[in-house]
Amino acid sequence: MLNVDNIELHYGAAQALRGVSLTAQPGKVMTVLGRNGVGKTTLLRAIAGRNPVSAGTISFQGQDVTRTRSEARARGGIAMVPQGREIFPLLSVKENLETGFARLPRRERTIPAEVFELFPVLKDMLSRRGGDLSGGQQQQLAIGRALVMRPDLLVLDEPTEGIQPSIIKDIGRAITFLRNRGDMAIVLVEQYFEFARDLADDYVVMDRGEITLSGTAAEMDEDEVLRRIAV
Amino acid sequence: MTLKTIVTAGVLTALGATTALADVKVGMITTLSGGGAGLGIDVRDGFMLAVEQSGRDDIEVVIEDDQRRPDVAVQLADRMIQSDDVDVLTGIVWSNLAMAVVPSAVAQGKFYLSPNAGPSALAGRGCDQNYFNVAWQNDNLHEAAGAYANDAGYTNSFILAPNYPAGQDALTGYKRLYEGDLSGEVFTQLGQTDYAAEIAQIRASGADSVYFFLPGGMGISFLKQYADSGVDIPVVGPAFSFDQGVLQAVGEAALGVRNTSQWSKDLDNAANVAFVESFQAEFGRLPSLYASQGFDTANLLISAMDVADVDDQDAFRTALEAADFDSTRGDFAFASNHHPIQDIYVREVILEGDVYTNAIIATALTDHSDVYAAECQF
Amino acid sequence: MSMILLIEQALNGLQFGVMLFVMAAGLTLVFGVMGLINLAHGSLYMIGAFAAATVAGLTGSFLLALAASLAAAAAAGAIVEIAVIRRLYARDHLDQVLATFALILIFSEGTRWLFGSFPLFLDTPDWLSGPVELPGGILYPAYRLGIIGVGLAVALGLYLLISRTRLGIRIRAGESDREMIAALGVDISKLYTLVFALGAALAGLAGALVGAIQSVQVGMGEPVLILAFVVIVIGGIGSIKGALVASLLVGLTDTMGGFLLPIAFAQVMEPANAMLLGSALASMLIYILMAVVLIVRPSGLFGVRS
Repeated sequence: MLNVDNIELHYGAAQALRGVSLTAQPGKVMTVLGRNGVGKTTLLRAIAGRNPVSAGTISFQGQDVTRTRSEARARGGIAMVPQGREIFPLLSVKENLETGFARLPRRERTIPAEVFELFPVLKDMLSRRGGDLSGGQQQQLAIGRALVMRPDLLVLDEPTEGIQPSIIKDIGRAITFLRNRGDMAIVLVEQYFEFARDLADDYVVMDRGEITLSGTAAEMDEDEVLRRIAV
Repeated sequence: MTLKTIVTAGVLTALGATTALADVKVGMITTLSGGGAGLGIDVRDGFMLAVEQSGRDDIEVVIEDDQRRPDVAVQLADRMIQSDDVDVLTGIVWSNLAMAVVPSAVAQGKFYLSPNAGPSALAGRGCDQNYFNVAWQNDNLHEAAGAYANDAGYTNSFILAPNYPAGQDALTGYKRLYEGDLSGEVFTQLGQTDYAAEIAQIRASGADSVYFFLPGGMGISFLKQYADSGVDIPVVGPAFSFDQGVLQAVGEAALGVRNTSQWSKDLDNAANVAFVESFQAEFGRLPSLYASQGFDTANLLISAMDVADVDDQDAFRTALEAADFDSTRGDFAFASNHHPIQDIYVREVILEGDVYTNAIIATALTDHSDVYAAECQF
Repeated sequence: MSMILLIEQALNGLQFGVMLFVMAAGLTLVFGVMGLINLAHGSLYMIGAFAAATVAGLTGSFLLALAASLAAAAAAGAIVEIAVIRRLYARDHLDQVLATFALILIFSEGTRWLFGSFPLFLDTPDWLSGPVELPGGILYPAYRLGIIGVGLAVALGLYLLISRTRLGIRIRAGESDREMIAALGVDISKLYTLVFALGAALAGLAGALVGAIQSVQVGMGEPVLILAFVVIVIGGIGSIKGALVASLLVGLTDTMGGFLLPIAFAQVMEPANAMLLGSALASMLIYILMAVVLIVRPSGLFGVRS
C-alpha cells in the first residue's frame, strides 16, 4: 500500500531525513514515535507531497509517487490531518468538511454518516465558523475533513497535541474504528506514548532524521522506546 | 538615408566644398506612446511628409518619444543638444512638456519651432528670439470661441475645462472676448473620464450654451455622455475635441457641433488641397489639425534653409521671421513675439460619406495675434 | 440647488461606485487568493473595451459586444496567468509590480500595433440611449441606470458565487491556506487560473460598459486602476464586501465632493477662487478618505488583520 524506501530530505543545506524507510498496510496503524524536531512531521509531509525528497522513493498502491505533487497524491487517496490542524477558520464547519470533496466524483459528494457518528459535536456546529471551535473540536473537524475524502491512507500528525482528555478518547476511538474497518492504512505521528502504544500495530522510533528502532507493537520493548523518546 | 546623409556631408566637408549650405539636424521630441500618442504621431507624420516632399537630403531628423512625461522630454532634449548636436528642436505637443524643455533649449542657442503647444508664459515676458510657435498661442482658439458666442447671440454660457494651466488659460481666453453672462464655471480633473456630475449641473443651470475645453479622450467621453443625457443646449469648443483623430470615436454625438480652428481640411488654398491629398495618399487617413501644424512647421524650416545657413543664427532667424512659405492655413505671418498672426474659423462637424469631419461656416477672428505680444522683448 | 440635482448627483455617484466595484472586485480577489499585486488589471479593462468596440463595429450588437469583452478579457487573463503571472506568486511584491508593469507596456503597445493610436468608436445601444424620466421628474440616462443594474447584479452574483458554490469555498479556503487546499486534492494552479480569468473578465466587462460612454483608447485603464487600488485599500485588501462598500463610498465622495465643495466654498469666498480651491480639494477627497480610513483601521474597513 504505502512504501517509503530509503528517503532523504533536505531543507536547504540542513538534512532532515536520512535513509528513512517505512510501510503502511490497510487495516493497520503505523505509529511514528520520537522527540520534538527529529523529523516526524517532515516524514509525514514527504508522504503527503508537501516537501520534495532529495533521494529515495515513495510508492503508493503500487505507483511511484515520489515526484507527484501534493494535490495529485490527495486525489490518489492520501488524506492528511496536519499538525496544527489547518482547518479554514473563516469557513463554516460544513464548508470545511466539503473541502474534502475535490477527489470525489460528483454523485459521491456527500459527507459520510460515519463522520457525525464518530464526532457528533460537528453535526451540532455545522453552520459555525471553523475558527470559533475549540482546539479539540477543530481537531475532530480536521479528521472529519480527511474522512470526507474517503482516503485509502490517512496520515495524522500529533492529533492529541494540546487536546483535552475526553476528546483524545474520542479521537482514539475513531482511529480504532477506522483501523478495524480494514480498508484504510493509517500512519500516526505521536509524542503521547500511551495513546500511540494502544493504537499501534507497528511502530518506528525516529531520532535526528533516522529510524533507530522499529517493530510490531506486540513485540515492543516499552522501556527501550520510552528511553529513546524521553526528553 | 540618414547614414547616407552623414556620409555625403562628411565627404563634402573633406573636399572643402564650401559653397554648400550646412546640413540641418532636427531633434523631434513628441508623444508616440501612451494615451496622447495620436497627436504626436500626426505631428510627426505631417512634419516628415513636408520633409519628404521637399526632396532635400540635407535635413536629418532624429525622432524620440517623450511618453508625455516632462522628465523624459528633458532628458531627450539634453541628449539631443549635447550628444546629437541638433540645430533645431521641435515636436512637443503638451504645454507642460514645452515649459520644461523650451527655455533651456533656447538658452543653449538652439532654435525651437513649436508645432503645437503655445503656453502664455512663452509668449509674453518669457518669450525668446529663438522660439517660434507655428501653431497658435494657447488662448487663441478659445478667444475665437468667445467671439463666436457673441455672434451666435449666446448670452448665458456654462463653461468648463480641466484644472491645469492650459485649462485655466482656456476659460480666461473664452471670457476675454465673450460679452454675455456665465451660468456656471466648472473645473474638472485632468484626465477625468466621467462627466455625469458636470452634465447634471449644466442641465440645472439654465444656460443657453456650453463651452468646453477637454482635449483628447476627455472630450470624447464628455460628448458621448452629453448626447446620452438628453440635454440639448448647444455646445461650442476649440478644435481639439473635434479633431479628425477623435471624431470617429465620438460619432453622431459630435454632429453639428461648432468648433474654432485656425485650420480645416476644406480650406481652399493650393497648399492645403495638395497637403490633404498627399497626406491621405501617404497615410491612408485624413489629416488632423496636428498634422497640418507639423507640416507647416517643416515647411517653415525649409523656407529658412533656402535662404540662410543655420550656423548663421541671425540670418536664419530673420529667414524664419519672414515666414516665407505656403501655409496650409493660407495667410500666415509672425507677430513680434514669434507667434502666429492668422485667421481663426468656426467649423461645424459634418458627415461626409460615412466619415465625420469638419466644414468651415464662418470666420471668427481675422488676422488675430495674441495679447501677450506687447509684453515680449527680445 | 434643487433636490432634483442633488438626487441626480447621488445617482451619478452610485453609478460611478458600482462601476468601480466591477473593476476592483477582480483586483481584490486576485490579491486575496493569490497574494498578487496586478498592475496589468487596467490593461484587461482596456482589452474588454477594445474587444467590445471591435465586435460592436462588426455586428452592430451591443450584447454580443459585451459577451466579447468578457470572453476576450478572460482569455487574455488566462493566457497571461499561465505564461507570466504564475511565476510571480512566490516572488515578493516588488517583483510582481515590476513584471505586471511590463505587462501594461506590452498590452498598450500591442493594442496600438493592432488598432492604431486613435480612439475607437463604441456607442450605447439604441434601446438604452437617451434619458428616462424617474419619479419626481428626474431625467436620467437609461444607460447609466443600466450600468447600475449590471454592477449590482455582478455584486450579487459574486456574493452567491463566493458564499454558495464549491468554487467559492475553494476560493475562500485558498485565501487562508493554499498548502492545505492542495493537500485536499484541489488543483491549485487551475483554481488560480480560473480566479484570475474571472477577475479579468470583470475588468473587461467594466471596460466595455464604460467604453460606450467614454473614450476607447490605449491607456484608458491606468487612471481607473489607480482608483481601483484606492478602493481595495479602503475596503480591506482581499475583501469583496469591502470592495463593494468602498466603491460606493469612493463613488459618492468623489461625485458629491466635486459638486458640493465649490458651492460650499462660494459661501465664504469669491466665486472664482472657490471654484479653483473647491475643485482642487475635491480631486484630493478620495485620497483624504483613504488616509482617514487607514488611520482609523489600518487594514481597511473589512480587512483581515495579519
